[in-house]
Amino acid sequence: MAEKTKKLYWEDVKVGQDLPETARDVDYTLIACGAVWATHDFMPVHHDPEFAKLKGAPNVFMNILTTNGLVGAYLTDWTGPEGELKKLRIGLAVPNFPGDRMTLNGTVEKKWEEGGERLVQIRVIGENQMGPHVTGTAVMALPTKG
Amino acid sequence: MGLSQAQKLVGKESSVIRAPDEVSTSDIRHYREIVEGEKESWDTSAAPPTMTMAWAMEALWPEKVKPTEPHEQVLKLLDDAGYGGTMGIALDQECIKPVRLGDQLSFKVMVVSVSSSEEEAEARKGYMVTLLYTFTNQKGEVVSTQTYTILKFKTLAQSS
Amino acid sequence: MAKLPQEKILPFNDTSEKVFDYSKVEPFIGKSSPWREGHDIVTKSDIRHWCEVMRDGNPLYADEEYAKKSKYGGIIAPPTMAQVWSLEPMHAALRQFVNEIEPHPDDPHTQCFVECNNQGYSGVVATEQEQVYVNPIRPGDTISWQLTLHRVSTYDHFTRMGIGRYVDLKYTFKNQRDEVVSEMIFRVLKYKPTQTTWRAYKG
Repeated sequence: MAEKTKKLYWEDVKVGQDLPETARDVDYTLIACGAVWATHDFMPVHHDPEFAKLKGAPNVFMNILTTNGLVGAYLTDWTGPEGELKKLRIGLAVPNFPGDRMTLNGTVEKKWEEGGERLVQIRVIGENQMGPHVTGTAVMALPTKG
Repeated sequence: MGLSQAQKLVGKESSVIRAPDEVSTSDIRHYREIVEGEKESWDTSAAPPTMTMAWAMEALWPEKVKPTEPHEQVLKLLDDAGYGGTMGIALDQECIKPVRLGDQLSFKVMVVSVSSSEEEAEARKGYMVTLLYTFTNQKGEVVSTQTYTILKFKTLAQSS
Repeated sequence: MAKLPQEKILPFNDTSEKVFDYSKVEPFIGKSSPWREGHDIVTKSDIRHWCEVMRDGNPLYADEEYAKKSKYGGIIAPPTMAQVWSLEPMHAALRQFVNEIEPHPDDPHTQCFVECNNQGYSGVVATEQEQVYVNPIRPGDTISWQLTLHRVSTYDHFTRMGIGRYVDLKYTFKNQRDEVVSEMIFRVLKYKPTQTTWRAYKG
């Protein structure tokens, strides 16, 4: 959960630095509510187990918009509310099914200034017990100490 | 057993609880598209009267861990005494004023009655709890009162 | 494992299985859908519902007081929400996914997908996306979008789902002031569900 007072300055970030690891249990609520309630996605593979099986999956699975939202929240939780997402690229591998547990980790890959902004590039990986669910690269603008 | 404490909460009312969301077009449309079925468009200027209870539903997160209100305490007492199942029995709604777009609803819940001993209903053993919800809008006008009866029952797992 | 139906077993050197005809999808590449408006305006409800599932406590998305004092001057939506208002409402979505009735059959990317389906590449799964965030999304905004068929693989890929082709869709999201809020490349895999043909070694 982001703290109002948390503020990560660009100067305090080091290339190679790891983000703190977080973990989340993937349950039916996260998958179905993530799809329908949060992301307005009615594709039945995300809320109807029978339909998911018809389409060749063992059960309902997380939609990409929910994965995207969880990665975005992970990043802004780390920076605090003054960190600004500029770009986010994600690739999916192993699906998230009910009963999985996903850990999120990140590493700072790059740090630079461009167009008056102070930017960092972060590599993110979300893994469940079966392997990588999501790998991604984010670019964020951070506040400066001046 | 803590159930005698439940009787002491009868007649007690909660503090004023604010609905987590304002009445919005998106919520009205999402409700109408399921309940009314497909249409060219749905009227989102006012909420259907049957939707009012939706604004009393607790947020998914952050979760309220401690039951502070009388009705929450009654339900927790029954959960702890082994009556973990919850089943809706009846909902008696009085629709007094329309619920309009942009309204910020609040509500209070009063514990009207709790069964004095275990009852059987709908082929389950448990305790009937009747709650009275009073909904007001941002002008302080009462928009609806709703009497909600639920059965707190012993689940199969708890019965064995 | 189920017994293979005899007529689906091909000798390993059989060339009768059709190869994807790229020329059938080529005319749609680079073509765009019309601009469309979201079915709802952006509301604080939408934002809170997203945040309560994602467990995102960022005060910019929920706290009026805090957001007013920020550079945004008010509550904004998480930028990762951009695509949400472009998704089909319930009935149209179910018709599309369950009954396979496309909501916008004339769209170039839809015609490309239908062509893929006709050629046996009927499976679809999202694999990758890249979003660029340009302007904030605020409650009351109307988000409009346009889709362009950006790219289709020119050769088959052998994936965990089966043989398939990647289709890249380019989305542009704008608000009611015609400002771009976000751009996205969305990559899906159109694949042949594995039980369509079997190849067996004879002898």
